[in-house]
Amino acid sequence: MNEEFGSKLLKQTARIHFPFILVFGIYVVVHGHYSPGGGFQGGVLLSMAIILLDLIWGPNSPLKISYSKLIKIGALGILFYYAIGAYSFVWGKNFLDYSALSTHYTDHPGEIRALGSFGIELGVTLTVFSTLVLIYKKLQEGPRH
Amino acid sequence: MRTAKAVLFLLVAIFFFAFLKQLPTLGKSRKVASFHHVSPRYIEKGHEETGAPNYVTAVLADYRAFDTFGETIVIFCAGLVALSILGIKDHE
Repeated sequence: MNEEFGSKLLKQTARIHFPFILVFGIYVVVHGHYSPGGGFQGGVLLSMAIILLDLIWGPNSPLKISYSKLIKIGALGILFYYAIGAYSFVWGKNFLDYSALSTHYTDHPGEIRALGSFGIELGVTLTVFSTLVLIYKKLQEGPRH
Repeated sequence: MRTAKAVLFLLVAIFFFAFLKQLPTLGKSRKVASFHHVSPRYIEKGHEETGAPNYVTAVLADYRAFDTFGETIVIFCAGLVALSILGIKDHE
């Protein structure tokens, strides 16, 4: 919002909810293996926490992220994803074949592959988070603000 | 013009119903088109090969990881396009 919107009540509610939304977002990302969820949904939840602050505090939002930083975070997510794929590519396996990540730690091949898919989920989370915050920020500011 | 429209409509209706007859029955797993190809492999060996306890994760993040990579890039591009259409201030 272009001006501060919240009353005292709204501000206190948002203040209490903010950490819980963050924790729930991280929970959804980390438990993407076991329950519905994963990178996309977790990224959306994390961005909701930032957007909630922005909705209520407006320009005085306590957690402001600039456009250049948002684009960098998004690109970092894709780069992280690509790095995991390229790593196995360099070590002579197929692109995104996680079994190349390591074979020293465990005999069970499934475990290391689960770690690889968790890594790509993290990359997806970063990208979705930054993109949603970016689109929201731009749309509420209007053109050429 | 009206007769042409009517004939076209009739033709589309005939093709539609002829196509509908060939679709697999809902809920019958043995008639699904991909039943003999990759689905049994995902269901039988998904957990063992990928370490993911559910099929959705096994397919999304492991077997079809390259597809997910493309999806992520699409989302990032959507953000960039929104930004470039609406424009940003010069000093930012």
